[in-house]
Amino acid sequence: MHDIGLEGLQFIELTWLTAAFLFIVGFVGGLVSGFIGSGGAFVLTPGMMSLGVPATVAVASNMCHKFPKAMVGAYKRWRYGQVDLKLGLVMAASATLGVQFGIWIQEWILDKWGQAGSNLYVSVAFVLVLVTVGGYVFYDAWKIARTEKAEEASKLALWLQSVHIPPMIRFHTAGVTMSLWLTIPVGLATGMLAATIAVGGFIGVPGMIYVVGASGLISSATELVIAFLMGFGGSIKWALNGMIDIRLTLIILAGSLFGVQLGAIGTTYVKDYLIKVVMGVIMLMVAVSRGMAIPKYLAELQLISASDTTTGFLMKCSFVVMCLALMVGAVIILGAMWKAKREERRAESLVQEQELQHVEHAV
Amino acid sequence: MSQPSEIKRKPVVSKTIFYGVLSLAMYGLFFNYSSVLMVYFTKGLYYAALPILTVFAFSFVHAAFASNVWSLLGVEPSHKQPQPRPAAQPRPAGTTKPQPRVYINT
Repeated sequence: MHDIGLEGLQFIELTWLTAAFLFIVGFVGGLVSGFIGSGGAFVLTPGMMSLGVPATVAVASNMCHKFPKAMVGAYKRWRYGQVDLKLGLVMAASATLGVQFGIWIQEWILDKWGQAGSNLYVSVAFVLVLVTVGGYVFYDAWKIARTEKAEEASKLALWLQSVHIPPMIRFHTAGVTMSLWLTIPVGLATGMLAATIAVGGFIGVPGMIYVVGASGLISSATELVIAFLMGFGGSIKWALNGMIDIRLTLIILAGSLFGVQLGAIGTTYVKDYLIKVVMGVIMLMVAVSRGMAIPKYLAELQLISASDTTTGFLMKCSFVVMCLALMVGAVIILGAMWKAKREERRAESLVQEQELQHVEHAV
Repeated sequence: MSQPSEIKRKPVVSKTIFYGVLSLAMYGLFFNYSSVLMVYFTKGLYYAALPILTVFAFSFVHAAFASNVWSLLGVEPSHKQPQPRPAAQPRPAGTTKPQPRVYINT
């Protein structure tokens, strides 16, 4: 395989090691996405950049693998009765507007403070949003696990559902009726975060759970519809500029299509709150990772003094923690699936034994 | 005589082989000619359809292959846990189903 230089853009040389790395990260990212509705993208983009892929090509190629992966995941979970298509479409429409607003803010910051300012803004947004939202999601999951109560809609969601501002929309699968105007802020925030940190699901899923009032299972499945629609639109935009390295996209896709289906199957085995556990853990770990990147940008803006060795070491640690976040999520999912499957088999064999005893008694 | 599980397994095996070979052929062909294809795939404008259509085509074939591989390995969705389904909504008051009417042309 050769280096291809096209109008100034350098597409990397592919080796078997590079392909194996992308396949594995694709698989793990797909597993997490199929389970919690998002994830994987936050590791893939910096991962590709560490292989020497230019930032724009990394973002474009990642997005181009994201939408077919989300499409397959959404289809699988729709077959399990977990997708609220109407909620997904409403959220995707408002998220598209949110993306435009997010891009406008990014451009304004880039214009005013340059690349370092923009990087600092992204990292601070990452840490603030992930610590606040991720912390609450994790606390909620821990509360449900401790009390072993069924998942309930939040007080905020119940209050918002009682507000009647026409048009009111009935989301059948989610079992929620809500004013269209009250769903829009959640979609806008999802889009804005997608434009800022490239993972809109970190606000979209908690937004659908705590603001709209859908369950974790429905929210994570519906997020895949939003990811598909937004990723599809974004990929067309990147393709028009010729930025997609289709070779990288296809290798990641080869792994992620295995992972996303396994993650989707996993949701049928585990308890509902586990989606929140995985999401909370990943969000908090990613927040730590992004927090480690902040000193570098502060030093570039000359707000603090730090040596290149220190900031370089912190950036490496940041990437390792990010990979760990994905791995920890995958281990929790696979562990819970294995445990649930073992319990199911045990229950099945118990029923079979009881049936056999009944037959023996009858004889 | 074949066991019921074996009978159920046979189409899954043949489907896995079919989609597996197809997926492998598509990947093999693409990467064999990747340096030529990349020139067209990164031209932008009207050529933007190429990467989009390609990922769709690969997704359909490879996702079907992956799905069958999981089935073959016995990794299937749980049947025990009831999945939430859309609840049937009551018809709003005052609306009735349209009734067939018979008219005689005189």
